Amino acid sequence: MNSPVHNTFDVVGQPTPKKDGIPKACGQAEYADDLSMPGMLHGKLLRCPHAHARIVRIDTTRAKALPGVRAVITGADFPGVRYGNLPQTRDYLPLALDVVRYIGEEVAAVAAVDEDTAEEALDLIDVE
Amino acid sequence: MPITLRVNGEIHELLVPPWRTLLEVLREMIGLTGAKRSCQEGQCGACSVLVDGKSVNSCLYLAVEAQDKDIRTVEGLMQEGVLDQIQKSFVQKGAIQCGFCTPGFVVATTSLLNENPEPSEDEIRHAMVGHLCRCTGYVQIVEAIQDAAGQLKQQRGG
Repeated sequence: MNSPVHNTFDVVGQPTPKKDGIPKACGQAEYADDLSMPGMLHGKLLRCPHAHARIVRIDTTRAKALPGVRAVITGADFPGVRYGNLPQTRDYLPLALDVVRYIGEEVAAVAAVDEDTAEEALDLIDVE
Repeated sequence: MPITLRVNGEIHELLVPPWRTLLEVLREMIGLTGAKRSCQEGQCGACSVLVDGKSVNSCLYLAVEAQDKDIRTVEGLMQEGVLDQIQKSFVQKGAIQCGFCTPGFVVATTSLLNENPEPSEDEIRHAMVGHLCRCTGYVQIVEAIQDAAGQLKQQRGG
């Protein structure tokens, strides 16, 4: 120890190994993206490319018709549902309804059998 | 495309679309999720694996390119269930917080110390430029790498 005061404590000032350090160092720790289950679906979000815009119309028929797509949802599926649980997020909607207010705001969501299909379905959603 | 991959010493015969990356094949077909999928554009280093002893971003490396090469992932660095020195140093020096970047750093350190067993702090920092850690602030990571280099030198009897 370089410390000028000799440390005689067992705990204070001593390094404590991280409880989950070993699995993390070995790549064995499981993160959400590492999970894989039989029958698992993959979700993708369609995000708004504009800073502020009105949504006139969303057509999901072509996306829903793509083989492997299990569900396509938009703001219309949650009419008036607000989910924010903090004072400043009380009026948040799960998906944008009529207006998008920032680049990246979620407009529609797709669930499909694999990621490539979900990605392809996003391209088939028609937003005006 | 049928390919043969040697991963952590095991041979895998696989049928892979030619556009699949090594990362996708390791994670989804072989089930080795130690290499992490993060930026998928070679920025963050979380997907690093060793190909013939050198660290590469497996998200930018096509699986078909990896044929006949020796691939090692973070899972393959342990020997008979015991952490290797680099992994031990990362645990002991507090270089791990959320742990998502750790496999990439451990793999990159292995590659660095293979080429340069006694790197200076500058050389360590230079070797780790392709790796992002949003928790630790890098200080403990550099200390862990210095510790690993020192311990390995002692083990070699230097």
